[in-house]
Order: sequence, then C-alpha cells, then structure tokens
Amino acid sequence: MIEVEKISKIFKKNINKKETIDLYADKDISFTAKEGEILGILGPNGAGKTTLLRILAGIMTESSGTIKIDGKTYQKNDTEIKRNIAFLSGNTKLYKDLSPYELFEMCLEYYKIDKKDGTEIIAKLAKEFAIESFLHQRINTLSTGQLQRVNIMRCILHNPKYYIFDEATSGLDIISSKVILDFIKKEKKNNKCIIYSTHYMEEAENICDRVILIHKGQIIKEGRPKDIIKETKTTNLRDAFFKIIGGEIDE
Amino acid sequence: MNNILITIKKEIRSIFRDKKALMAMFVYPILIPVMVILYGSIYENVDTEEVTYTIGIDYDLNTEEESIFKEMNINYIKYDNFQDMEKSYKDNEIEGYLSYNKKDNIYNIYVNTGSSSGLTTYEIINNYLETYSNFLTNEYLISENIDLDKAYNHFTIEEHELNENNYFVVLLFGISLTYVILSICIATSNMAISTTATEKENGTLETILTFPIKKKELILGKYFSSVIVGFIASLISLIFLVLSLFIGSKFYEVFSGFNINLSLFSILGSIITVFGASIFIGGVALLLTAFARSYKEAQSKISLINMICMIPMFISILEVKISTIYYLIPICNFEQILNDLFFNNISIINILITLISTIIYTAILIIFIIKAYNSEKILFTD
Repeated sequence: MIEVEKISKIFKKNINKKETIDLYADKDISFTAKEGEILGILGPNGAGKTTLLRILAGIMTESSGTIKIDGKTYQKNDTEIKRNIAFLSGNTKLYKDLSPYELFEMCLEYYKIDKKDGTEIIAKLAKEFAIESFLHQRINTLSTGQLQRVNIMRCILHNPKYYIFDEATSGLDIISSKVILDFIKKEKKNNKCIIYSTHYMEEAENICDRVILIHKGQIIKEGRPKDIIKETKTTNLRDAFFKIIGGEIDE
Repeated sequence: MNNILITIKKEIRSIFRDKKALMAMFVYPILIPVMVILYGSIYENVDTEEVTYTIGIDYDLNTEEESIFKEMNINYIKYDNFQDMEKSYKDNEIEGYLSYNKKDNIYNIYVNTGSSSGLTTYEIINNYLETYSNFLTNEYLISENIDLDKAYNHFTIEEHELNENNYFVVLLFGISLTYVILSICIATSNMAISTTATEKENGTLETILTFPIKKKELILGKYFSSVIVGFIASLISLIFLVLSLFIGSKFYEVFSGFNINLSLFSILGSIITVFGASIFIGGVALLLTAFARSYKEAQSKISLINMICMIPMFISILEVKISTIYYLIPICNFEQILNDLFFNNISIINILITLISTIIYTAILIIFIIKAYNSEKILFTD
C-alpha cells in the first residue's frame, strides 16, 4: 500500500539577486493507494501532478510530509522500494543507441534479476508484446507504437507491485493510447496498484476506481468518479472539475 | 553486477556507438603522428635546402679576396659604381652590398638586418671581412717574424654537448604531450556530455533515476566511464607519440640525437600519470557538464578545459624554468611529469606533489559532483 501524508513540495524562485520566494508545487497532499486499484491523479497542466508522481517514484524529494510504500520510506529504503515500482511518463525516453534486448538486459541487471531468469523473462514478454521482430533493432529505428510497447515491457520486466504513470498517453494516437490503457486494466486484474495521472478527464473516468482532483498543488476532491459526478450534479468529470473550482481557470 | 559497473557498461557502450563522439575522441591521438611526421618533413627541408645569397661590391677584389670569396662560396656581383649597386638592391637582385672607401680604408656594409635574408647576408659579409682581416694580420705577423702558433693559441677549447636531445625534438615532444593531454580532455568531455547533458536533453536521466540505484552509484558510474575513455585515448596518444618519434628518427635527420628514456619505470610512470590526468580531467568535465541543460550548452562549457590544456604547451615553447610550485597546478603538472619521465629528469618530490594534489583535487571534484547531482534544479530542466 502507498500511504501519502501531508506531502508538500516547495521550489525556490529567485525574484531578484537577494530575494527568493517559495512556490508550492504541491501542498499538504494526503491519500492512500491499494493493491488492485487504479488511482487517477487529475488536474490541468501545472497542477502539480508530475511533481507529485516524481516524489512517489523516488526521483524527487518532498519538502515536508511522509510517503510510506509497504510501510517503508525512501529515506531509509530507497533501492528496496524502487525494486517494486515502475515509472512511465509521457516524457520517458529510451536509450536510442541500444536495442530493446540490450535495454531490457540493462534493466534486469539494475533490478538484480539473474541473467538466466532474465533471458526467459525477455523471451516470454517479447512474445506477449509482439516485439520479437525488432528485439535486436536499434531503438532509434523504431516507430512510436513499437517504442510504446518497448517502454511498457521495460516497466513490467521486474514484475513491480506499483505502477506510476505520468501522462503516459499524452500526445499518443488512439491505438498507442489503447495499448497503455489495456495494459493498466490487465495489471489491475493482477492485483497491482496503478497511480495514473492525466489531464484527459474522460479517459480517467473510464479507467479509474478512484480519482484525486488536484488544482494549484492542492487536492480539491477525492473519490470514485461516479460519486464525484453525482455529488457535483454534473454529467462528467470535466464538468465536475470546473464546478468544484468555480470555473476558475488560471494557468 | 554492481550498479557502478552496470552504469559504466551502459555509458561506454553508448559512446562507442556514437560515431561522431568516437571521431572527436580519437582525432587528437591520430593527429600526433601526422604532426610529428609533418613537422619533421618541414624542418628537414628548411635544414637541408641550400639558399644562396648574392652580395654586391663596388671595388676590385685582389687575389686573396677572390680566393676567400671562392672558399666561402659567396656569390657576388661587381658594380662599376655605388648607384648601380644601390639600384640593383632595390630591384631585389642582391641581398646586400659592400662598398670600400680606399681613401679612409673603410668597408661599408649595407644590409637590412630586419629580414632573415638580410641578417644572413650581414653574417656572410662579416665572416668574409673577419677572414680577410685575419689573413692581413697573419701577413703582418709573418713579416715581423712572430710565431703564429704562439700569437694565437694561448689555450685549447673543447666543446661538450650537455643536452642529449636536440631543441627540435624537445619542442616537438612538448607540443605532442599537450596533444596527449588534449586527447584526454576531448575524450572525457565527450563522455561527460553524453552521460549528463545529452541524457538530460534526451529525457533518459529520469528513466534511470527510477531504477534501484543510488545517486552516488550512478554518479560514480558516469565518472568512471569518463575516466576510462580518457585513459584509453591517452594510452593510444602515448603509443602513437613514441612510435611516430621513432619512425621520424628513421626518416628525418632533424630527429638525430633523439633519445628518450623508455625504461620500465618511465613507461609505468607515464601510464600512471595519464591515468591521474584522466581522473582529474574526467571530474572537471563531469562537474562542468552537470550544470548544462543541453548538448550545446555543455559543449561551450567544456571548451574552457580545452583552452586550459593549451597553457602547458605555451610554457614549454617559452622554455620557462619550472619551479616545484608548478607541480601543484593541475593539467600543467601532468604534462611536466611526462616530460620529466621521458627526459630522465625524475624527481620523487615532484611526483609526490603531483600525486597527492591530484588525489585531493579529484576528491573535492567528486564531492561537488555528488552535491550537484543531489540538486533537483540540476537534474530536472523542466
């Protein structure tokens, strides 16, 4: 289980040579995410979703608050927690000089998976994701769809308990997006916990068990999509979001 | 496998697949033999090419003067008057001229010592006049029945060459050592750019940070890959340098007297020195590129190291006397130690100063790099 308690992230911004101001990317964020659940983190661009997910993935450090993953904190069990996490963002790039096979091999080495077992895992998943035909081709020669499959396979290689997807479908065509969404649904059935951020409200409405609406770094609503829609007397999450923020659009 | 080793493997594989980076890395080692052979050929031609200078005279030579001209192989043109001789000089037919005032017994030399041909002409005329003057002195001494041997030979002079290598080889070696150090700079810089700025620009740094690897391990992996690549480039440069000097000495006479110390100690010492240079320069390169947000920005930052590497070359050309403090200056000290090792001027104190200072500087650099990598401002450009 992922337990987030009063997480804040402050960035210092220089306004002149002597003075700095504190900018809250996230403020007092608290929630929990359980196994077998898809939790959506929703909000417009600049709401603080990416910062929050980077903190959850252990690549950024919170300014205050605590995160516990299976009762452990990054401060004390950094590498142990990361072994159970897969992070995929819309910006996640792969090493273009490597082939998918070399990339997977490298990932397995980092995750300390035995070479013999690793070879079997690669062979099994390559078949499942239909990437056998370009497994030894350089990544920079692959199409967007092929890259997406390689990226997902990279995430699943070490059989993580938790998936953190940051705008993973952003900018992708309908087919590539479907690959990711189908994967998320499948992993949910495998009792995995998926934290999924997007600014596509309709997508989240269809896939998420629970959603957290974030605006200006703060949680403005949390609950099941249909409950939020019902509560706000709207017909979809997008309208619900605007109703909650009072129509205020401030980037 | 250890996370540091996995990172080294990843970085080195990546750089060896980047043709542009690979070319840039090995261009300096390849330039060394080209430079040595080219310089050897140029200097050889300058040395062996016989240049004849013609002087003008406006008086009749006597038999003795004529024989001195002939013996000294001096080309001359006899003019009937001074004005014709002056005009001939202006028309570049002669390099200088000599006029004799018989009345006052004065030889007037007209040359432009500001030009190299004028200076040589001056030396030729001066030599000729000195020889002629000696002849006249001998004539006088003989006529006065004075023993020439007693008059001239008060003592014997014997010359002993102390420098076993000629100036050309020493200078060329100094310049080549700068290329060795430059090859480390270029190789480590390319690696550092690839491991930091390019990784940030490509967005792969975020990916690797999600792996179960400590930041320290990641940094050390990146650092050691820069060091390894720099070390490989420097070893290739050193081999090319020694081989090209040997080959040069077989084909060109300007390399005569080429004699460098190739004992086991100097070979091992030079390997350790270039390794030291690689660990220091690798650290500087990684620190500088850590602050760059893009490949272009990293390249402009890295050009600073390349400029610093040129300093020892200028010092070697100036032939400045090196003091012990010089061995505290990083980059300069590596080149000087290499020079000392190959020319047998080994001083244990200077080696120790270089070794200890390099360890201290590198440790400080690594601390700064780790600090830089702990800063989210540096890791994330968005």
